[in-house]
Amino acid sequence: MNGRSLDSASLVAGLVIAALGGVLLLDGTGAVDLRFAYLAPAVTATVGAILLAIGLSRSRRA
Amino acid sequence: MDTTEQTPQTPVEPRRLTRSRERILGGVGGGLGRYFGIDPIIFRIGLVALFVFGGAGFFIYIAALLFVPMEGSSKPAVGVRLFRGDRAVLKRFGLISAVVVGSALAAVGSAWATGMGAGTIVAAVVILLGLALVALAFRGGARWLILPALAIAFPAGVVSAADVDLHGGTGERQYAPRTVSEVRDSYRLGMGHLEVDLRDVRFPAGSHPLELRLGVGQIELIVPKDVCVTTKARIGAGYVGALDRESAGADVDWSNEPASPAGVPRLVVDGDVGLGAMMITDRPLNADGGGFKPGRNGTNDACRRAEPAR
Repeated sequence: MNGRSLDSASLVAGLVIAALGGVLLLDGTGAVDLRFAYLAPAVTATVGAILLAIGLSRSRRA
Repeated sequence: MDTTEQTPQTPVEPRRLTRSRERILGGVGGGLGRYFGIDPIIFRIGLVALFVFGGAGFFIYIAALLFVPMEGSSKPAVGVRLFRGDRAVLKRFGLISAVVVGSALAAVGSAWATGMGAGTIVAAVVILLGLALVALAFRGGARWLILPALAIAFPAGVVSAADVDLHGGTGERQYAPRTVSEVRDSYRLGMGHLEVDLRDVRFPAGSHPLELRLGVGQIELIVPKDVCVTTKARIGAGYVGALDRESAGADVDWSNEPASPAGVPRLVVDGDVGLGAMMITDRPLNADGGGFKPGRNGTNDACRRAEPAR
């Protein structure tokens, strides 16, 4: 163990960004047809999840 | 002997504007609210409104972040320390600037690469950055990586959703064929302004397909008045105006296909714009100023000319 604590904000951000990359990859390979109707909620959810994780980790530290 | 009691005088500190530690972002709204004795939400809404309408809110916020000290801090504001050459602040400012400038460059590069057909590579980079964030989360975190990752992911998402194809070059393209044989089946531009002026062409009766492709920008198709125009348009995000009809928004799949009478030439337009506008008009858009207005830029009367009287 290196003794460093888990940063939940980085963890959540990494997971949602990797998921967003997965969606982009599926669109790039033609498996799905990405449109703004799906992208807009996906982007909002991504930003929301990251801000929520940062806010929660900050309040936990406080 | 003087017996008058003297009450000790506590020095009154002058009211000082500071950023609040009870903050959402940088504590600017909270600090302003406390200073003026008003609910901070008023200032937060005001700053957001100024940001949306004109962008002044952004610059006011950055200026406040730099030059208003944090509540309870004995040090001067970051901006003041920066101008004084404080090494620690200079180093931090340099790192933040590098991340912001790098993210902006990455955003442009991501959009360009996706538009040029390298969307899968960009998607793979986004996945790798996400996985790197997950791995680094167990080693104390790497939040600085969030901004560049989003700066790569979001423009790629917008370009993918709009199906922007940047092949075909950039800039201003004008075509004005004079005969039917000079009219191409397809006109394409990556980014910019594409103008196709067909007013000098005398189309014979029958169907004449015309394909227009644009990644980002504006298509202006000028048609002769004696031609019946049918239009199919796919706009990722933007506007389509065809003579007396229009539509706008995101994910626009629009068509206007009036039946053309026998003996009337029919121009069958198939347009595709990623981000921007396509306008079909019977005169140049800048001829009388004011841009495109349905009905003012043509009425497609050729489609109705030979209709039987009811």
